[in-house]
Amino acid sequence: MLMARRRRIWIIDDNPDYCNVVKRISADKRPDWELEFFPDSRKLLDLLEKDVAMVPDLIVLDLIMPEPDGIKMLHYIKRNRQLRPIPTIIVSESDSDTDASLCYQAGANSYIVKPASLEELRHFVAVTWQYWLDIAATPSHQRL
Amino acid sequence: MEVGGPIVFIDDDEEDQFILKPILESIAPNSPILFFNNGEKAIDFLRTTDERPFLIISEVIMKNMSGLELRRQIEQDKELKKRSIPFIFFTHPAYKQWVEEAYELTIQGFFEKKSSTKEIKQQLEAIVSYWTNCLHPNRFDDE
Repeated sequence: MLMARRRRIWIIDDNPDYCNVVKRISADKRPDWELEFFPDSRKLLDLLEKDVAMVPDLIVLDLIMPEPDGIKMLHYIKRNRQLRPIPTIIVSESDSDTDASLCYQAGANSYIVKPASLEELRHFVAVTWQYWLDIAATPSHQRL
Repeated sequence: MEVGGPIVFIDDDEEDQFILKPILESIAPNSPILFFNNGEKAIDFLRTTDERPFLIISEVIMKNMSGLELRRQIEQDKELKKRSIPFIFFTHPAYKQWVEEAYELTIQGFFEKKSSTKEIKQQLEAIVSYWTNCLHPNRFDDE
């Protein structure tokens, strides 16, 4: 049975321009979905440690950030009992196979090179939201 | 980017294989479709092949080894885990408990197989298209 709760997506990324554009594109496509932005992963860790964060349906995590960086956050997410099952997408400027491999071994659900143009970013938001939130069954939102 | 590695499909229902093979061949013409009737044969293949599969797509319920057990064994195999081949469940029926267990095993998607050929094709197109855009170590030409 489809649950009525609003879909929630965490964007953990320290680039404000990128976050603003993602916000606009997402609002055009899915105005009812809630995006929460965390430009500083320490703030998110504080919320998690106080147990006051609302668990999302999808996490989009930038790999290259000030400490704690994306790989450390990924390890934290995949070791946290509540967050581990949430699909976590790594978005990175790095197209290195080593970075992608390390992320998958740490439990990333997918890895995408950060879109370089507005058109690519629109495509990324459309296909990522569709794949993980419209078509796939996920633990937080199942159509079963 | 052109993706040419095989798609490893694990499903013990011969009728499903008959329906799905031409669909996958039309969606991913550069990827040979390798069907396995059970998880044991699939993991033997994965452990010994030099090929670099593009995707692993598996049913959950099968005789002997289930799809969940197959995923668990891949996760526990150091070499296979390092290869990070995207692993997707494509299954019918599907239950809440399976979805939860599957995501604990850090999969790359869980899809409840639709009933009509048209809908199945749409699901598989979305899967192949998404993974053609994602980066994973099997996408690279060199070790």
